[in-house]
This record gives sequence, structure tokens and C-alpha cells, in this order.
Amino acid sequence: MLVIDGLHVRVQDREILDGLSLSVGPGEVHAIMGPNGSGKSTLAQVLAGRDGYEITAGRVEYLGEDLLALSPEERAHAGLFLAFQYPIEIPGVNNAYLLKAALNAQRHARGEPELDAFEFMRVIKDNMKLMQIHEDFLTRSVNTGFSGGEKKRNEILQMLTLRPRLAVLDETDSGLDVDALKVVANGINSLRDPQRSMILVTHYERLLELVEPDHVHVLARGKIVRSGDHTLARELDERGYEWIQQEAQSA
Amino acid sequence: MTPEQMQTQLETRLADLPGGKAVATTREAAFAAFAKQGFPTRKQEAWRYTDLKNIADAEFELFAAEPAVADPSGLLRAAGIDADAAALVFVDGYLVADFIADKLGDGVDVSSLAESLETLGPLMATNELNGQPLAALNVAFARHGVRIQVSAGSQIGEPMHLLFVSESTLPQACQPQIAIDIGANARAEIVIHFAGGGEHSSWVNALTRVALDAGAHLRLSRIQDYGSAQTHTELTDARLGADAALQVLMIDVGGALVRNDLRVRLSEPGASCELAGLLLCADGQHVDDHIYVDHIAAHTTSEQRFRSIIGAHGRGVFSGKVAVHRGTRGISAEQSSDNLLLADTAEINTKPELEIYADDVKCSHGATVGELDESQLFYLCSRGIPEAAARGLLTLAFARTLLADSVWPQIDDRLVEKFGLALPADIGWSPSA
Repeated sequence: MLVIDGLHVRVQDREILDGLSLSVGPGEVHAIMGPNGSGKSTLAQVLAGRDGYEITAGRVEYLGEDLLALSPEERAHAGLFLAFQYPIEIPGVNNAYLLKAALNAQRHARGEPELDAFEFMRVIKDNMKLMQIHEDFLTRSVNTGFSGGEKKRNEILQMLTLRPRLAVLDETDSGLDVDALKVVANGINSLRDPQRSMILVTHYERLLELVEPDHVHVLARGKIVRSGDHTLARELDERGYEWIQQEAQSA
Repeated sequence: MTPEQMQTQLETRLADLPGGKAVATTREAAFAAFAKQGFPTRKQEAWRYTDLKNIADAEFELFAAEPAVADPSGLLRAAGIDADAAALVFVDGYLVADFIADKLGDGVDVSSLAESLETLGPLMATNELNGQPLAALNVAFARHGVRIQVSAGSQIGEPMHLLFVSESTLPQACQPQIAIDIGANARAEIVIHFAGGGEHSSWVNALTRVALDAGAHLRLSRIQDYGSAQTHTELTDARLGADAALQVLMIDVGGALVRNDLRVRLSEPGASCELAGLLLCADGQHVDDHIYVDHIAAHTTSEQRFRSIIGAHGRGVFSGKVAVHRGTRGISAEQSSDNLLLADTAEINTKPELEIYADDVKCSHGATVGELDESQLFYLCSRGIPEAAARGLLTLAFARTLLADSVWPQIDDRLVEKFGLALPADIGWSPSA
């Protein structure tokens, strides 16, 4: 599904990713953990195609294609989805409009028939219920005036509606209380599927108790310094990141 | 056209002009006030960015003949006004159709400018025309217009539309006058449309006077949607009594050279105004919004929210002045000017100006000038919306956030046409939240 090989990324002359390699197979859920500043969010942004990151070496192959050659919208059309760490407020564009425009733009790009208003409502109604989002949400401006929890639930609602093949969730758990975390985790779990892969970028282990990853990787100083199964997440939670960084440095 | 040439024309026609002798004296005095001041020039601070030289040098027909208008309903349709709306249609100044009938009820009295001049006298006294040479010119030459009086306590549910269309293919100067008087505790909504003009260069120099009695409420929208060659200047002068509330929305889409002066005097305690404007220009257009809010009385509040979207080779000006008089208390004044530049050759000059001579004042102002927000664009694209459509969507959203509800549904189409916006093509546009 996704192969990242020796990825080097710079931002304003600072090397953020320093030869990162990662392989994600179909149906797999990978967690990427690491201390602040280790390059987790940079990885998420680069995968989604954000400007301002200079890729100095390495390659990213997605479904056999060169991902880095695609524009952000082409990546979305190919089934890539990024749940933002800080979802963007867009006053003047309402949620229903964005969801429908995004869904139909993707369907159009894939040669599928576009959905009319009725079909669209049918698609999102169940998703909204699952994410415990009230109906008046549809007429509100995208993320504008939303609480932190609402923004994150909205990201997952978009993901449920767009049904990506590869979802990258950037610190979706941060800023959520226990109840909201459960709702978000339910949403994520409902999409788990042998054909769909996920990368969960997170600082903490608590989301991973609710969404159990197949693989856990620790990112430090721009590369993966340790990989393991879901028990690694618990170990990190108990011991912190320092020991791994020290091990990596002495290695 | 020199003042002498104008004066000769005025004197020749003075006897035929509406209002009779009493007004003739005012006309002559107003013309003298204009002649003394002359056309504004860029040497004056208030006209620093806007050059009227083309008007001052051009030959205009000051007394255009009445046009033959076959289909006034068609003009309403073209302006985006509902066929059954309460509307008056003016072409080249002349009232050509009255679609008001009994739609507004007894509380509204509509009279022609000629009737009003004869019974109520001139719209503005000569001493009010100092510093306003264009308004003085209007008072001197005015032949057309309308006076709307809403009687005290009347609640007018339906908006009333005044459509002014430029149809002449000859260069002419049209000087319409609009007087709006809202009685105590009455409530009304009026929409003034300026349209037409096509490729022909004529000039409309409008004067609108608004008076709100105590507790009156007026929602006034002013939509300018001319063709590409029109020149338009206007002064809207509003005076508010105690606890009166004025909402103004100005939308500018067309025209070659446009200057809008809006002056609001909060004369009595409790008066408040909310002024909003959306200015669109591109392709050599020059549009200048010049706002002046005068906090004369204590406990008055004002809000100014102006936005512009400027495309390639467009030039916009926003000047918003707030004056707070000595000894007034409990004043609140807010102002914002947000400007979206769509091209390197787009230009905006934005200038807030605060003159505050009192202590108990809450005043804020802010101006932003920029391009579309990169993080918003990326967010939309990351959802699969093509970049061009994302840009179109965000440009519309920038305008829509100013327009709380849809006083003029055509604005979306105009934006799309004017700036060649792409949109997610598959669905009907209803982005506002």
C-alpha cells in the first residue's frame, strides 16, 4: 500500500526527516509515536502534499505510484486522507457543502456517478450518528467556532464519508476528553477493513488502547528508531521516550 | 465641461426645473457653492486616490430627454429583483414604472422629487454643501428622484426596491435624488439598485438623504452593478435620532470609476449604525468607498465592516473615518477593512481614521490585506477539491461571510463572472453558514 524509503525532508534549512523508511501493507494499522519535534507531523503533512517542505532525498510509493508527484487533490482522489492535528476553520463554507463537494469531487475523479442531495444525506446520516454530531452542524461553517473535540470528530466524520484507502491521523487524540476519545476511536475502528490502511500519529498511548495497532514505530530525530507490536506503546507510556532516544544515540 | 458652460445650461433651463421659484434660488446657490469649490482634485486628502479629471474634462448632456422604455419588468428581472416586488424603475433618471401599488400598505408615502420639492423644499440646505461640491452639483441640477416617507410606528414588512438604470448611449450626467424619512419607531427596508450603462460612458451623481426619527429602524442596501464604462459618484447622508438604528450594505460590482461617500451622523443618544460594504473590482476599475461616522451624541454605537476583492488591474480605496465629539460618553465604534487581492496587479488603499475628543470611548479598528489563506486552500485540496475550485470557493466565502443573508442572490454569479472563478461544479452553491 505505502512504501516510504529513505525520506529526507527539510523545512527552511532544517532537516526534519532524516532518512525515514516505513512500509504499510493493506489492512494494517501503524502507530507512529515520538516526542515533540521528532518529525511526526511533518511526515503527515508531506504525505498529504502540503507545500513548504523540501524533499531532498528518498521516495514514497503509494499503490505502486510515486505519491510525491501527485498534487494534494490527486492524492485525495487516489484514496489518501489526512485528519489534521489542527483542523482549519473556513468561515463562509458550510460543512454540508464541503462534505458533498469533496465526496463528489473524488467520485468524479474516479469516474463514479456523483451523488444527489438525497443520496448524500443517506451517506452522512449514519456517520453523523456514529460521531454523535448534531444535525445543525451541517449548516455551520467548517470548523468555525467549534470546540477542540468537535473539530476532531468532524475530521473523523469526513474520513467516514470519504472512505479513504489510506488514512493518516495526525494527533487526532490530542485535546480530547475520555468520552470524545471513545467516539473518535469508534469512528476509526468502524473503518478498519482488510483493504484499508491507517497511520496513527500520536504522542500518547491512550488512543492505541482503543484502536489497537498492528505495528508501533518510534520516531526520533527524523527517523524510525524502534518498531514493535502494540506492547511497545504501553512500554513507552510507562518509560517515556528518553531511553529509546539514548539507545538510538549510543547505537 | 467648465463651470461657465454648466451655469449657462442651468440658467437656460432654470424656469422649467421642478420645485418652482423657491427651489430655483437654492439651485443657484448650490451651483455657486459647486463653482466655488470646483471638482474635487487629488490634492485634497479625501480625494487622494480618486481622480475625477475625466469627468471634469468631459462633455456631458445635463438635461437628457426621456427615454422610450418598452419593458420595465425586463429591467427588474435583469437586476435580479422579483417580479412581484414593490419597486420603482427609473431610466436615465426618469420614473418609468411604478410596481408598488398597495404592496407596502398605508404607512408608506411615495412622492416624486418634483412633488416633494414643491411641497417640502430642497433636499439639502445650501450651508450643508460645504466640502461637498458633487452634492452641490446634484442639488443645482436635480430633476428626478423620489421621496419616501414612512409614517411613525409603521412596520413595513416588504423591502422596497428603487432601480436606477442607465440606458443612454450618449454621455450624460444624471443627478437623481433620493430622500428617505422614517418616522418614530417605524421600521422599513429599502434596496437601491444602480445598473445598466453597458459599454457607454455616462455619469450618475446621486444624492441620498436619510432621516431616522427616534426609535426608527432602516435597513438600506445599495447595489451598484453597472457595465464597464459607467462613472458613478454618490453621497449618502444619514441623520439618526435617539435610539434609531441604521443598517447599510453597499455592494459594488461594476463601473469604471466609482466613488461612494457615506456620512452618518449619530445625532441623539442611543443611535446606532452598522455599515457594511463589499467592493469588487478588476480590469481597470477604480472603486472608492469613503465613510464618515460622526458620533455627535453620547451612548451612540457604530460598526463598519468593509471587504474588498480586487482582481488584476483593479484599484480599490477604503477610507473609514470615525469622529467622536468632545464631552460625549459611552461611545462604541468598531471598524474593520479586510481586503483580498487576487493578482499582483491588484491594488487596495485602506485607511482608518479616528478623531476622538472624548475619554469614555471603546474604539477598535483593523485592516488586513492579503491573498487567499494557504492553510484553508490546502485543507480543501486535501479533501479532493481541485485547487482552482478551492480558490473559487474561498473567494466566494470571503464575500459571503459579510453578507449575512441574501439581499441580492445574484452576487455569487457576479463574483464567478467577474473573477472567472471555478467552483466545485457538481452542486448548487449554498456555502453560507
